[in-house]
Amino acid sequence: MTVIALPGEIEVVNLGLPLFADAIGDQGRPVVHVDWRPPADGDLTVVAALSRLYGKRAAAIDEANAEVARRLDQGIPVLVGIGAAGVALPGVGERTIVHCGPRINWDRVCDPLRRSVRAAVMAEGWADSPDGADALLTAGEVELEPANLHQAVVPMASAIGPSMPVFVVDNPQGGTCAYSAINQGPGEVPWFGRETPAAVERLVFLREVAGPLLAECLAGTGPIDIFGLASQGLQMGDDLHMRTQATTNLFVRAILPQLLGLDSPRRAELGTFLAGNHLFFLNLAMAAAKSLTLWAEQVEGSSLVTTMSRNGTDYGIRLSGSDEWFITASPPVGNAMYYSGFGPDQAAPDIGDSAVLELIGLGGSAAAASPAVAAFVGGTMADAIATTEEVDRIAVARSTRLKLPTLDYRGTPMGIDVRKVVELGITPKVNTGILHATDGTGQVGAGVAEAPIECFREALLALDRRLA
Amino acid sequence: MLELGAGAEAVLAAGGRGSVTAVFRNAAYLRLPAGLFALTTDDVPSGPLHARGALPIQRLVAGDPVTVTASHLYAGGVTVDLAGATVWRGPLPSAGELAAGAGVALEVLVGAGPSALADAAFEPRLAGAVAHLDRGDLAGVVDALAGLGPGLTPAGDDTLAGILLVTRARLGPAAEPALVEQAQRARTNDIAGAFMAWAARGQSIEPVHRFLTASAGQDAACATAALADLLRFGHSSGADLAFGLRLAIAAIP
Repeated sequence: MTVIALPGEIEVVNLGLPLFADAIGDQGRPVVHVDWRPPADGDLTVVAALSRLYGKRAAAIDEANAEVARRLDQGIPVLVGIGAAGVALPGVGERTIVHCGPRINWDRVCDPLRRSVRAAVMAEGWADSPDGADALLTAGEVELEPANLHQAVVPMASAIGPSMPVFVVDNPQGGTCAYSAINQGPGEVPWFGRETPAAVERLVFLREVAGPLLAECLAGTGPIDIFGLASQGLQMGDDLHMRTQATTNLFVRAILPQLLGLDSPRRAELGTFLAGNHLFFLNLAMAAAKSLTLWAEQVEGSSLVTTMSRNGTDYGIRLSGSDEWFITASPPVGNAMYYSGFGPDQAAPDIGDSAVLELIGLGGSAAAASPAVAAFVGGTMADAIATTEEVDRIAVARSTRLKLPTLDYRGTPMGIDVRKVVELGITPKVNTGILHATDGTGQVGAGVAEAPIECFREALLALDRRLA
Repeated sequence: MLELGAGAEAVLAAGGRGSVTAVFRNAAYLRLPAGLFALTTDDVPSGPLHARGALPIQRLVAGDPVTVTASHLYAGGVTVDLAGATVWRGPLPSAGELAAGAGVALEVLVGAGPSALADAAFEPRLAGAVAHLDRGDLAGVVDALAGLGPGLTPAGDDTLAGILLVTRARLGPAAEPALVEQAQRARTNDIAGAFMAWAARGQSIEPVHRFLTASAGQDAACATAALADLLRFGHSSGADLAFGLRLAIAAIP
């Protein structure tokens, strides 16, 4: 019989389930934990697809991905003006409401977006009450169109009619142009799922006052480099999604001479609106991001995500080089903080087109830049940095212009690779607001949502078929 | 419809925020401020830590955030409606019934497969545990078996759970605090520890309770069927639990 002498001291390396490492650590013994798990949760069909996409097809995919990443990184989006949605957005009809997220029929639209769409119908003058608006929508007399299919993106539960003003953002390097509505600000506003008279009045204000006066300002400033401001804002604590305070201030400073020079009796109203809207720059950042993804998505054969969008019912993504949507149920926002008196029971699922920011290196990708975001992901800057680091594991590149002071000015991760997402089971983190699910209260909290894995898995399998 | 074991009910009633600890084919363990419990599919037996239902377990990933409110559980992308959940508690025979059925139980348990502790490597510790059990020294049994052997819940812990459950049935509810204290002395992982603590409170997985009540009723056929179901539980946990039942029943004075 062979006698094996056991060591007097045991030091453990644990692979897989952390609970074994925890148990050893709790007993005061040294342990190193390796966070290993089977790729794609061990789904053999998916593993086979991954083997092909990481194997014989990898060189071509990696080449395409490098080009997509280059386009996301090197386009220079500039704000060139403001136009009416019905004129500027290609393919939008006279009786069309453009909304966030994937295409959806009226009967499946979630409560906050229903209210926002009805407010948009009323602001267009097509109905004078929510019931009247609802009747038109139920009868199909007003068309619903996803903003993403018309070169546009809108945040939260935004919906805009053809008369509403939109930012026009050019990406001269890519020859693309993208649009976003003017941010509606805080309070009783449709993008938070409100349809009160005050909410409709805010839309009218944007159309009658903010749009025309901002257009006049922009005529004076000339094109404004959006990422020139965003990269500075990142150094000042913005993630450019949940927090755009600093960048908004930089933007107001950029247009201040023209703002003061406006010859309008309503100039002060615009000033008041801008002073009270710390998320004003959000929509500009989104339009800039969309102008980049419109360029990037023209690349064939890539495994990078170029659309990520939610309407509060469905969560949809698309990959570069394909028009095919991969859709699953929109999830609740997991890491969240709620206003007093509210909680997950009242929270609507994740909503809005703003996840486009996470594709190009902002929002959750830039969490490490923002103490404000840290509060939602654990409370410390280490937690915020960990959020960015996790996105880094599923990204193929780092921005050369969006830099993180807390990571020694490393670029933010960008270019989400569906192969890495499915292999590692890590989905993009999206910094977002949370709306009331049913009663039109508006915003009830904010948090960091995790994209659902199912649509990424389907996209991966479709890519494998497409490249076969 | 969701079915909650007594332990899962207690953890969920306390609410709060936590995370998913581990995900398996048909069960996911979630850690909340009041402790651990498992979300399981319908094909997993009822158990003290189980919240059973038609649940999309595979949508969960270890590390997913968990929030529990009065009416819902939110785990990663999964939402579970807690309203209307039923509570399951496994029945235990009385001390007298247990003693009366000991012969049938031991006869049926002969058909149980070998415990993972049957490996020669564990023989010295196992012999020590049996000696402690014969002397009524439960602390000695815990020291000998806790954390011993293979498995997510180590074989020694599953065996201990069987011993604790039979001991609880034999000594009645008054013994629970002392038995729970012994279970909590075991140096093992949290999942195994939680199962042992609930065994000390008289709750284990459903086939165990069916086996004990059938044995107490002298119903060998029903006890045999229950044992067969028990042996299908886990990789070797069912056999290890059955081994613990056998040791404890054989030690009944």
